[in-house]
Amino acid sequence: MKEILLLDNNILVYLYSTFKNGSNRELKITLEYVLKRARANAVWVPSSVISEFLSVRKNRDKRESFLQKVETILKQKGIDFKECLEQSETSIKSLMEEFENIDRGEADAHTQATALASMEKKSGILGVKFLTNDRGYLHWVSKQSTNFEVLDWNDICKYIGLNMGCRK
Amino acid sequence: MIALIFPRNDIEASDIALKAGLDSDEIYVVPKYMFREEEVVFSRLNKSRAAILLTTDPMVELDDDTRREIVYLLERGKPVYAIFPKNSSAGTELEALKGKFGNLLYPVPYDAEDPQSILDKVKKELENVSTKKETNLTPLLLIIAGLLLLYLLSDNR
Repeated sequence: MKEILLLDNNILVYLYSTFKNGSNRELKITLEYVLKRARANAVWVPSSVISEFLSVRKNRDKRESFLQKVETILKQKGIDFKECLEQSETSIKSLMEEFENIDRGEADAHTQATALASMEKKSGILGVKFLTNDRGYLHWVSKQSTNFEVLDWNDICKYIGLNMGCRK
Repeated sequence: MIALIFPRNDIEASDIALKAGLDSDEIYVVPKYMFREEEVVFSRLNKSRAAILLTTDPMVELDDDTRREIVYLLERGKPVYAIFPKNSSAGTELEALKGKFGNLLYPVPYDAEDPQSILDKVKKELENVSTKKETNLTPLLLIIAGLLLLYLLSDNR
């Protein structure tokens, strides 16, 4: 049974900026730590988050190879890492209208998490978690009722010296 | 390569450093996470031609790793530009280090209550820096000054 961890763009950018010069071992330890703390055994990234992450023209190749590095490390541990299909335009837009401060990636991830979590257990999904550092989204979602768990990066990683600033 | 250093518990400085070095191969943002590989860190510091130390939190002191990194660079004759808020714990310690490495350590204290002052400070420093072609810190110092100014003017402070 899968416990899926969905990643936000700010998490991908943070991992990239922190580990682009580091060793594979350091990145591997971090990913293992995050998955253990999040109690997840699969990492999925919404396609709009991937597009956002790769939207920088400069060093797009490096960002692509970073994603491949993450995929290789996770696959070696038997952990599924994949891009998930974008949710319907209508549900993303409706969420963006409801909460004007949410960006497209978060809106996609939020609707994706809702859809995945509502699937029957026979589909192999036991739980869904969305990992982000966006203060605005975290504040907004704390007042909503969701069928998935939202995790704050700083709560998970502050003990290993990987704190993220709060601004976008 | 230019090393960009921040104290372990200064989250905003870490954020600014990571943003400044995001897509550059010429900037080495020195990691502060628990399981960093020391030999990799010091080998990269050895390859750096200069360093910028950035602090934003006046209460945060220099941790052992940060202190070690700065002394390592200074002992090898590499200039270190230290940007810190006035009356900060880190500033006091850096002023003491200046006594030992006077001509290599460049303190750039700024007034956090007067964010515009950071521009004047950096501008003044750039007048000195621009004459030292071997370090060529101008673009990075400007980026850091801009990001620091954005932070100092933001509501999240």
